[in-house]
Amino acid sequence: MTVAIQVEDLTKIFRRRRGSPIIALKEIGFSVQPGEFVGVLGPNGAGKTTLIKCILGLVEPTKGRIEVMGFDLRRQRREALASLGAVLEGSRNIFWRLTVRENLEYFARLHGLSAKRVRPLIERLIEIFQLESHVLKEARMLSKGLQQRLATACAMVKQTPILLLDEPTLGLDIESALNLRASLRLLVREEGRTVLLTSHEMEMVEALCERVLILQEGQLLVDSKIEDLKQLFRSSSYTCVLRSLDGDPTVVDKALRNLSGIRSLERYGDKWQVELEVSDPTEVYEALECFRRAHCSIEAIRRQEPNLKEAYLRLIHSGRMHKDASRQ
Amino acid sequence: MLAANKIQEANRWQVVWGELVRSWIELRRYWFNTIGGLVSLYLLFLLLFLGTSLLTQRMTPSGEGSLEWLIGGYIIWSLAVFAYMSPAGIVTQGAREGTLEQMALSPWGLGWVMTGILLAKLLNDIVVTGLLLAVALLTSGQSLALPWGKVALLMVVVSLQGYAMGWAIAGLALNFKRIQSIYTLLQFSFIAALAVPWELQPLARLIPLRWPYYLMQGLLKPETEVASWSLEMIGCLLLSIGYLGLGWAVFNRSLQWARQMGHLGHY
Repeated sequence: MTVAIQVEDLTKIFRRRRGSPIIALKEIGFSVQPGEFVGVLGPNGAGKTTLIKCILGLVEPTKGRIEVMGFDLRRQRREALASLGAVLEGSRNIFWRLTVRENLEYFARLHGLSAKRVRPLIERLIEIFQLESHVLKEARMLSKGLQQRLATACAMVKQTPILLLDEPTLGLDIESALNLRASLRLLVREEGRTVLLTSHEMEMVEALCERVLILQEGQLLVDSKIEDLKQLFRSSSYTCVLRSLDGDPTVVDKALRNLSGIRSLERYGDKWQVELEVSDPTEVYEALECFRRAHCSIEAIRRQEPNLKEAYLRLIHSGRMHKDASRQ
Repeated sequence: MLAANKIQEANRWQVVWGELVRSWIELRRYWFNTIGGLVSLYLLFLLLFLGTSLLTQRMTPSGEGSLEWLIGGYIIWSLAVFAYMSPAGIVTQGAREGTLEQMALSPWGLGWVMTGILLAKLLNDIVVTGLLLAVALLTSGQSLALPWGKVALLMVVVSLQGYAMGWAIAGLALNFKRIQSIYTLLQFSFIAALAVPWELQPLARLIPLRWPYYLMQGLLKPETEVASWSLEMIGCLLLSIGYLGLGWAVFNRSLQWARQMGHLGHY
């Protein structure tokens, strides 16, 4: 089976007239199978947008190779681009003076498809992206959320098997972001499109993607299934709510501060919320013993469910620590 | 399975058709602006016709040939300016509106999409200019005794030279975006180019627009003698095609540079 996206040894260096060159991507390699929904995460400046633009052929790599549906992007550009649709971050992506329907027809033609032939698809996209009551409105009259939904629909009307979405919910309110997320999920599940999505919204990535690529300073830090990542950090964090029994907060404060593995400690009146990180389950018992000695009752104890945000933050943090150590 | 190979049923002319439709929609939707443009063009034509006929009748007893020369010159000059300014205009507008990268994602490339927009614009301009010319002639009661076949050939040559410079300037616009001041400046350099003495050979032939201008003089001013108009025309056409190829190459090299530097999406 043909791999949807194959990236090998991808490096992009932006040379500047003054100052040292910027290494935006460094020896990145991964592949995406048809029908996969892959998230690309990373802090600002990690190289997410450059990666997306390299795959789209909008930025030329300094080194490396990209294949789209088996076509080499450099040598078989037309064939490769015929398989790609995209919504780019920060760009308007749509024509403001055209209506919703006209935009959809225009983008189909831009990809060489007759608007007449894709009419049933246009109707379906209008329905899925809930644009029915806005069909005759010019794009400039739409809210930002609707414009982003239209931009995504325009990327989909090209009927490309691969869709690249660069921060599609950036700047959207919660409701618009949820609507867009629901539409994306529906389309991807029904049609089996391959999607590469960059976002800072962990919840969205967790809800939609099966796999994530985490970039940091242009390097691929992690390429893993989300479930595997979450399992990696499972059962190491606990949240405890404690109440002082003898009313002396200084005793409790003192005892808790001496406890190892405390990640955060917050006091609300005679109650404390403790976030505890343990490397060994026996440390939980040590903590319980410490709470007893501090004359605290335990009102609640909860093992933190693993989530992508937590895993991501830890990985980025450990990545930075590793980098700093190797620099020293 | 989704159409992985939609390219097989895709047609590059749909891109051009899409641009024609978009241009027509925008002209119709912004009718006030369209009508305003038409009225001002019409007034300009009227001014040219009436003003020139008045002046030439006063200056020379016959006034013969001057009106034709002026109108022919105007058509050719405006066509050159249009051809020269359009490609860069498309790039700067696309970059400003954020649609440039989407256009560059077309499987046929940014160059072809821009060609589509240019064809749509050109068609629109030819229709509008032709109509206005006809209306202006009717209302002024004048007539133009122009050799239209040769004028059309000259228009093609002028357009080719204009587009050659236009594509090269569009390449600059891809990388520097705001270059309005430069292309306005270059637009005025056309006048200087037309003023280069024809005796400076072979330099004069190589200067953009100077050769077609000489041929136009041969057509419209009886006192200018062109030894072999057809032969000169073929030479000029070949040079124009060469220039167009050069302009296109500059544009493509600039596009490559913009991709290397990541300039396509910036404004």
